[in-house]
Amino acid sequence: MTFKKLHICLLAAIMVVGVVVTSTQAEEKVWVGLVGIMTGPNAQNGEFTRTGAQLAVDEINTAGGVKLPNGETRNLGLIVVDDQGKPDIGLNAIRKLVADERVLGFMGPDYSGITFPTLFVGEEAGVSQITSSIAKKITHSGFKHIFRGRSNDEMWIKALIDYSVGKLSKKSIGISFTNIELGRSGRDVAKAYLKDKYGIKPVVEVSHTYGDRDLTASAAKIVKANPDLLIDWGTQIEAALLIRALRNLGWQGTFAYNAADDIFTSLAKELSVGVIGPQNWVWSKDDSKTKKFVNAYESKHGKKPSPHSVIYYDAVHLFVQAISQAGPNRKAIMDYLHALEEWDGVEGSYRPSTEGGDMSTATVIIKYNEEILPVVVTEFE
Amino acid sequence: MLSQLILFGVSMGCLYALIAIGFVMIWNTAAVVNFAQGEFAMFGMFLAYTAHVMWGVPLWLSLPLAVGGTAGLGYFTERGLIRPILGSDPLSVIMVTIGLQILFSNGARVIWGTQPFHFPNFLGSNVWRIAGLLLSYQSIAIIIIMITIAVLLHILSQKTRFGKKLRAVAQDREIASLMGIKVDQTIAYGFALSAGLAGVAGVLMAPIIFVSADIGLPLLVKSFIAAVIGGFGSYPGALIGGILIGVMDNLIGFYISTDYRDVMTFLILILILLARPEGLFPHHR
Amino acid sequence: MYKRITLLLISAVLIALPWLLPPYPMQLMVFVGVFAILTLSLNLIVGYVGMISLGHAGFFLVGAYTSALLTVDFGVSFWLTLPVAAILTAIFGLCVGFPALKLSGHFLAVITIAFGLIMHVLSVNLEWLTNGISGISNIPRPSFFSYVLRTDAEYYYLVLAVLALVVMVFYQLIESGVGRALKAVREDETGAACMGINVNRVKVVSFVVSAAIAGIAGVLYAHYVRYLNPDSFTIDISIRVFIMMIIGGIGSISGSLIGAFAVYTLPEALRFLNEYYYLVFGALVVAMMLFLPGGLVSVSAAFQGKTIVHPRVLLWFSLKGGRKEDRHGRNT
Repeated sequence: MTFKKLHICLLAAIMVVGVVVTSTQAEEKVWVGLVGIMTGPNAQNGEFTRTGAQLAVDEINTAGGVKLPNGETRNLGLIVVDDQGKPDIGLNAIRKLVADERVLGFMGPDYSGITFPTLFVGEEAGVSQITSSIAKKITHSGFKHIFRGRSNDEMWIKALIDYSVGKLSKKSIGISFTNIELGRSGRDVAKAYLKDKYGIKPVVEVSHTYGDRDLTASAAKIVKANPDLLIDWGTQIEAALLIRALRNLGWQGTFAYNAADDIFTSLAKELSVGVIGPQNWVWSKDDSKTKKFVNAYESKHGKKPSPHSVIYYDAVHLFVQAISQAGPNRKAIMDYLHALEEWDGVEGSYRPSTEGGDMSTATVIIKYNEEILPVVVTEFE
Repeated sequence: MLSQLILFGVSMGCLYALIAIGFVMIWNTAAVVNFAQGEFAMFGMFLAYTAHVMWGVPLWLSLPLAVGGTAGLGYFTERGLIRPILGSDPLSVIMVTIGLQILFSNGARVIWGTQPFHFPNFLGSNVWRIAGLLLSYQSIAIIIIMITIAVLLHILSQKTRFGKKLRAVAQDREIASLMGIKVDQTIAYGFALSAGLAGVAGVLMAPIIFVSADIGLPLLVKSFIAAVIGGFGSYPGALIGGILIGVMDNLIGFYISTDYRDVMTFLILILILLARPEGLFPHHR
Repeated sequence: MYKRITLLLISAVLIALPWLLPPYPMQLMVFVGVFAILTLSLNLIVGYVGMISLGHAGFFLVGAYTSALLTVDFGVSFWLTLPVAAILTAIFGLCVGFPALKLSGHFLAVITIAFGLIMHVLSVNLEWLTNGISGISNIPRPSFFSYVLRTDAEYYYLVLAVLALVVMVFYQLIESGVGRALKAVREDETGAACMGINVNRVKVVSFVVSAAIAGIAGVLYAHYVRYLNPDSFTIDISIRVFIMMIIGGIGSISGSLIGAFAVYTLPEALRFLNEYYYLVFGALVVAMMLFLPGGLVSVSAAFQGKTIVHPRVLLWFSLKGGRKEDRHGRNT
């Protein structure tokens, strides 16, 4: 009895404090939200999204803030919620975000497995959502509020296959994937494209469980079929484990992977040499906007931005443009975005008015050279 | 391919076996089911990571330090947290170890972060080609170390005073104390040794599965099952059980299915248990 | 007398809760209710019969997914899916209960862990049935004729009603001959068998009933959160429920309720600690067990009647059922 009472008192006290604290934030700002994977084994990905967004927020505020159509200038605020890489947590997180009236638009999630089942929340609330998830069906399921800040997996797979089969003339292809939404979507698109355009059937198809740390059996299956090229689709941890198991078993083929970025190379180390992969963007791209962004990011964080960071950086700028043109109103912002034909960001050119919401088609294929630096081998717009 | 799979399975299985042996040792001497056994392995690998990768201490020093540190953690855990409730309601003791599992794994998360870290191979990433088989240096090292430890443990158990004390306490605590053995101290050292074994496993595992804070629980489940099929309480049983699991993982994953690998492994384990409920090497105390 | 008054007071508070609490704590209380039911189901096996189960998340899963699939894919009414899910989960309980006869102690623990893990893997991989890792979304709320239980308060009363029912059933069981039989089995299997109690039947039946109740909890869970995916049913949940039961006090009905409340709301109260909160939680569990092994119920005198945790109770550790350790550390 006493413990229960104590507990209720504690809860009440905390709630009171919470109310007081939030109500003292009376400073007027315009707010955008960010949902991402902030804790958990893949939190590095989320961290890159957050720092990318925050860089843009800081830049805007340093330059004076957001200029509203009525002439006022307000500072920009960012609310970050954690989805922990889990759909049910993500659902609650997005619900909380959207329930906050001040949030004019939000970015994320990154994981397709969280974005897809939670789309209905943003849709019902009429809030614009810019995501970095690559699974194709996110923009092909009839949701009107969603915008994708990067090329989707269909574009990536096509670019990758065109490069490796078309240009490099790889003949036998294997497919492996992590058994999550992202992986399965990639597998479906790859098989379909290989069949339709090149008439190729994969010589082996293997999946592994998310969180599994012993991929020897999967690797053995692949090595037995011995493809020239393996297309792996999943998270960085499994990919790094897989490539190590493959090399341990003597496989010499080319490893192609969807998230070939610094997180991957920090785990795979010297095994990353020769790995190719599609990306929306990479820091070694040779144009002035990229260089400027990379410098700004690096001087603040001491490391190169990931392909995710640029999406969220651009997304913040895009939202700010919408707010300054259409005003701090959810519906007005969405209408504005739907009408916007073209907008230039660091990643490339965006077309928010595209049916379904695929704003960007910028894709690069990178290959890791001897120094484990990503070299751009082809670009697609 | 088959022999390759078996070899990798054996080397991975040795690691499970090490943890399982430590687990059984704690059970035999203190009648405690140590839910935090997997965390000791995790701790070992993090100590090695901090020493070698973060601070640049050379490998030949980092590894013993890591194992020693883990053994120390085991000793202090027993003295501070287990000893007070030893002998009381066994369920309370389990709850303490469950609490410790949560404490240690989240402590590691707070200190080092949640993402996995790379740990360099001890002897380089080369593979050795022998009789048409490819073996990674790491796997060979694991098997050699395992054999060494098994021999050392045997010598310890049969020839040294400490080993005899451990066996005496395991057989009968009251009589052991009547014979002048300091039971409490022996149990504490037994804990330290068990934790140390888990630490060795963790350190050997680090280059293979990446250093991360959340591997404790899966390792615990695997080693627990290994100990049980071996016949709970038997050291050779734990060893065989661990290796069996390592090999089965690979064989089942390859020949049957990678998705259902864990399910099939469990089903086979259940069948073994139903056929022989006392385990493969029943241990009668 | 004193007990009746406290019971009345507590009931009054529980019923009035939707008026006293703001929305977010109200949502928490619904979860507390669901997990209280789950904890009670575990308590039946562990606290009363003395067996061990570390895979109750598996039963939870079966109940939740059964009801979700029936309502989403086939439009079956919630009130029909509830008994169906309970029966299906009970069948699974039967399957796990039989091996439980031959094994006990840590062997049983392994089987139950295996069960929980197998259920999880199946729910991930049987995509044609469970939609795999993407899960099932848009699970409808139950409706009374045409009135949909849309608000948190309404759902809370549903959960409260089911919980009250389960508690009453338990209470009757304990008082009756069945309860005495359970206690007899827990204390001394051989002795119980000598008294004419069919030990095997007691064990299997309690597994079946426990599973069914866990399945019911699953149904309530599914229709509240309205989105299911395999990640909500891992071994962590099994361990969490175990902790709830122990912290509350095993073998005690009120213990299970208090334990569920404490363990579920504590992380919320500790939320300001951010990434440290689970760490503190672990420390608290350890501290609890060191200083208050009888569970929270042993704190207050008012709950004495039903809370005896017999110090010699534990069959969990025996290599063969019914054995306890003597002071030599041997099995008698």
